[in-house]
Amino acid sequence: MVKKHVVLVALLALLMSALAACGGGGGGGGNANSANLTVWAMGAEGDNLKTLATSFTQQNPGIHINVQSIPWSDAHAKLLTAVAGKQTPDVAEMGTTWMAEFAKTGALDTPPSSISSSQFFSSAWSTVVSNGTAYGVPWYVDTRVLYYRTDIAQKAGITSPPKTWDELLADARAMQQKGGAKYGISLQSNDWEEFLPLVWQDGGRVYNNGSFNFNSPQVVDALSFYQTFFKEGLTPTTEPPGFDVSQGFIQGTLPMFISGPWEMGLIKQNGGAAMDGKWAVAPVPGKMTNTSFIGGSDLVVFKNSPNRDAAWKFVQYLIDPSVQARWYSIVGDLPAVQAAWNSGTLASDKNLQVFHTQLSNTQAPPTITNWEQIANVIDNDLQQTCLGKSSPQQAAQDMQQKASSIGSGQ
Amino acid sequence: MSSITNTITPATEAARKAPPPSDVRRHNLAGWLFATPWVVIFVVFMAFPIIASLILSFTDFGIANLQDPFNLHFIGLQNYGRLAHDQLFLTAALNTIIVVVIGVPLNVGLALLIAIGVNRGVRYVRAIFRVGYYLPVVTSIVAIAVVWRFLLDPDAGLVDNLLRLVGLHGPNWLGDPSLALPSVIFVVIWRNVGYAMVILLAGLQGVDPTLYEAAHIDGAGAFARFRYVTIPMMRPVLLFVTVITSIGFLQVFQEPYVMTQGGPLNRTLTISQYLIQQGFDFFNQGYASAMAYVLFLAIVILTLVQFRLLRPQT
Repeated sequence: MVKKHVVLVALLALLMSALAACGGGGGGGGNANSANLTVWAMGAEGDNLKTLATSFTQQNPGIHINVQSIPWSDAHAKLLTAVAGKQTPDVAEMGTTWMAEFAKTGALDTPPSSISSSQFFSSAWSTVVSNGTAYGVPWYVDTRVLYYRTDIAQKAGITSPPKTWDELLADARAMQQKGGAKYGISLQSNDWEEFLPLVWQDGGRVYNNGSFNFNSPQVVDALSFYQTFFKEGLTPTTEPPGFDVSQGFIQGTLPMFISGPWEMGLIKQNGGAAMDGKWAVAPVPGKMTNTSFIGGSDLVVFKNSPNRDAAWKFVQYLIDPSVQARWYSIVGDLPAVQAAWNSGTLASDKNLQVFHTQLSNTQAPPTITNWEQIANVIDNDLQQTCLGKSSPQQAAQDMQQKASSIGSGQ
Repeated sequence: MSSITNTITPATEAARKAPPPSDVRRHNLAGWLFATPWVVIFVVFMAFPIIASLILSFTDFGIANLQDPFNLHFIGLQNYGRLAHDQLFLTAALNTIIVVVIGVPLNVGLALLIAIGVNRGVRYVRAIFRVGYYLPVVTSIVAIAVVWRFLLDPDAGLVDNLLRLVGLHGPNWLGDPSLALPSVIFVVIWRNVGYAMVILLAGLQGVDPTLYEAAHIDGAGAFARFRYVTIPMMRPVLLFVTVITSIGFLQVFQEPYVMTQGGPLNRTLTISQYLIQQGFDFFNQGYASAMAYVLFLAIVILTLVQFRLLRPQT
């Protein structure tokens, strides 16, 4: 096993030294009306982007698009290798938390000034900005809201979804004690994406202008609140990898959880008609604010591409409001462009309206190169706290110390 | 015997012993030519990467070097020094040691018991047993780990459901911090025991039956025969199995990666998992290379110790 990794590590070094010589700059942006573009996209996007690419080519007959689908699990490594070997595609989908890392490699082109940042949700735009410069544009977004079982809530005497931390805790207790559910809520003991919004809701920021701020009252506060659910047995302590919360939600053992839009499809698919009218979504409960997490994907153009002008043209097509709305109807990705929400299902569906409301109250994690490592530190200390191995104060101090020694990498 | 078959004349014998120098060169050349495909592959895919990663382990090679690979800094032994203070690495090292110290003797011991059983107890269905125990070895580790993850599930898993039938409340095998590592070790052994068993079985069948007969006549009981005949005769085989098992267990990766992803509380995080995380998730390749070399050294030292302890006694 290890031999294999040693080999991998060094093969990469070999590849880089071999290709370093034949790199060379990109030169001009190419012909904006005639090009063959290679586009990498992940998961469902990769499988369905061809539909949009065909429509684009009908409007721009000179530009042909070759969509390559990459599984999410390989995407990070594949993109890094492509950058190392200078064999990048023209356009690629990019996970929002990877942006800073790839910006640092110097491989990404900056978007043309004709793309206005104000058309996007502001927190979505913040995911493409690293050290003050934009390196791509938001493509689609997701945010997390509260899912709850209305029938169990009714049995527990709850009339409206919880709006504050205190109400969330009280409702979780009621659903377990009076509502007949095995647990009150499903929280993950090692998921920073679920935990970090609590710090934001309390008015805290874990990173600001080059320094980490984990050892703050807000972080301790958020940790103590989160820990309460585990201490009181309101949530299962650990979940296996690949855990699917919608199963427990449908069975009624996990009557509440906080997650993204993809769960709506899973509940309808796995629960069928029996679940109709038994569940609803609501904006996340808050303290000072009701901030939730924003995720999704961005679109980037690589500097190496000889067809950068045509590539940006395709990107601009993908962020056109009507195309964004059509993209929602094809794969269910929530539009990053605000204007796309003004018509059709996106404007009329009750559940989608909750996501729309929540989206204007979201935040993205800091766009710093070492974020994946910092996130790993949070996951570890969060689990220590949830399983009662360290106090919120200890965990906050530990996060601060480890994050500082890793550094932002900027 | 030699006097009968030795019809070679002294002249031809001398020629065989010392062929003319040009012949040697030609033979050597031919030999190298035959070996070339392997040598080229070895140098390009093994020797070069191994040396390159040794060099990397003394540098700060990271994400910024992707575009500019030669802009790296030699930082001496800093990566190694950092390892000594990295809590997660120490946790991973401790877990790996536990896997080896508990897993290897259990694996070899169990394999020996099964081998003896298959060798002597069941005469007619031996082939079926051999295949049964060996099957996990040739099955994909990931598939095995996924299946065991389902079997050990606290709500839907077969194991806890069986316990429930007899009125016991089964634990959360993979979710409980104190049970996760033992559960992982169990699955690792379940998968690997067949390999050790097959090698030991071959060793057992190689022991001369007359030795047992002689011991029996001398009045040795079953245990004495095992202790004073089987074990000494099996020493080389036991050494081989122990060394191979230890090397495998030191690098255990897939089972915890699939079943627990290192959790809960990093109780099942192994060195190999942490190495991949640092090298490929975070792209700290210099640091990851240093870790790989520490693991390599540990393997070398453990192997040397085992050779010393289990060497054939004359």
